[in-house]
Amino acid sequence: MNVFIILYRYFLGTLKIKISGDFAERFFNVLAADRIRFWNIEKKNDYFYVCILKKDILKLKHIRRRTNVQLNIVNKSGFPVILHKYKKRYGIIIGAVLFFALLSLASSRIWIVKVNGSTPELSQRVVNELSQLGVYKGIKKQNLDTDLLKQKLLLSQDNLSWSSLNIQGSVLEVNVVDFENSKAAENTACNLIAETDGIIVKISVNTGRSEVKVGQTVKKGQLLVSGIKTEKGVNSFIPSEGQIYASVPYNFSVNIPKSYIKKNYLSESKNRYAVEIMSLKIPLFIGDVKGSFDTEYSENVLTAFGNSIPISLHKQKINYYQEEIVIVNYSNALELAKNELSTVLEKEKAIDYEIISSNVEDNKESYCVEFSIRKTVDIAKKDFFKINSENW
Amino acid sequence: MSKTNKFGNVLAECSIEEINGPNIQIFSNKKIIVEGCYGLNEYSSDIVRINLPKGEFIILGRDLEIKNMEDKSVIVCGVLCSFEFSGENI
Repeated sequence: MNVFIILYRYFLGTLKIKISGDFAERFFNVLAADRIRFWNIEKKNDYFYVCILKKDILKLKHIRRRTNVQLNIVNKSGFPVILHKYKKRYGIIIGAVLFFALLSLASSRIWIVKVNGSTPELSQRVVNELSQLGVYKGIKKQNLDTDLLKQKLLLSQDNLSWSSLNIQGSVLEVNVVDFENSKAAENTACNLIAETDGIIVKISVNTGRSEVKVGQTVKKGQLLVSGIKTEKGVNSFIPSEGQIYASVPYNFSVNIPKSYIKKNYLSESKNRYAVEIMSLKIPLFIGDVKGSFDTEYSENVLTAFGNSIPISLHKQKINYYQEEIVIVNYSNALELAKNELSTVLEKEKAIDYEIISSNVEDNKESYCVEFSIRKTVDIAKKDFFKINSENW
Repeated sequence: MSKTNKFGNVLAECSIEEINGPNIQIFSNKKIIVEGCYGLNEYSSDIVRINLPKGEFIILGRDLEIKNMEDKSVIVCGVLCSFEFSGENI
């Protein structure tokens, strides 16, 4: 049987009726004459069984009187029957309406902004810039002009060379490339030159030819590692890689206040959670936090089958502390300044340092500590060859 | 002469009255379609009597079932054994 006829009958609903009486044939003739569709006529034990559409049942009332037969419904099936069964189940109806409303809401908005940058810093900058340009979680897709946003993004970020914005479902995918990377992609061949003046203490060259020796004094901009390789009289350009550590003079000064507040963290801490569903943040806690505390935030986005969905759990960790006023004397100031210095040098990735002289000045409210040091840092800086590919 | 041409000639020889009259198609001994009828006179698993404009068409068989029935057509399925016409110039 045709699938469409089956579906048509299913969606309109079917009834199987039992016909009893002496004029069942006449009843069928009248049905056919009145253009009422019926099928699967069977005769079992002096009774006729026939299937009709649910919508035609009221028409049978008059035909039954005219033909003098008795009708009994023996079976009901189809979609209207199921619908009738759950007519009073308001929960299902409300659930279905809510489901379709949420589906419509979720699919018409952007819930995830995915930035594919060459570095995490660049990605973060782009995310911040996009939020300033009005791109946020839950923005309507129709309000997004990706071409205009692309241009604005390129204008606002000086070091961006290329960007593209693609909407894929509820995800806005932003691809960006910065100038350095595009340049590097175009031409990776480079020399390594000195970033500052210094005395070479350690050489570690991965690729390229070293042009300096340990103990040699170099000036800023001097060639350290050459990216020109000569093999059998043929020159070729290669990307130089390596670290050239040099002892560099460095002056560092820091102000240490004569008294400061020290935070003594307690073992006691507290976690507070909040659920964010489609930009709607629902706190799972009651009341305020009292006392002195620092907070750490973390967010876990729910994923399904490898894709993020717009539901996330926010965790706020509250670390309590007690404040203590610390009075700093001359020797403490020097110690604190040394700690500050080591932190700064650690950030600069210095492998070693030597304090040549130190001076502590007593100001009114603070100590001014000055150090004259020699630090050992990597001074190699990439200097790309200016090669015009058209000349090759 | 091909088979198609044979049937073409047969149809050409039919009068308009014959073409407009009841049309009966039999598919093996399993299915029969009667078009241009006026409904059923009798129906059971062994016999189906169909009312024609000028008479009656009787189908005899086993497990007879009316598969579908519309204004002027009936489809009967089952094991068909014999057919009978009553009345003249049907």
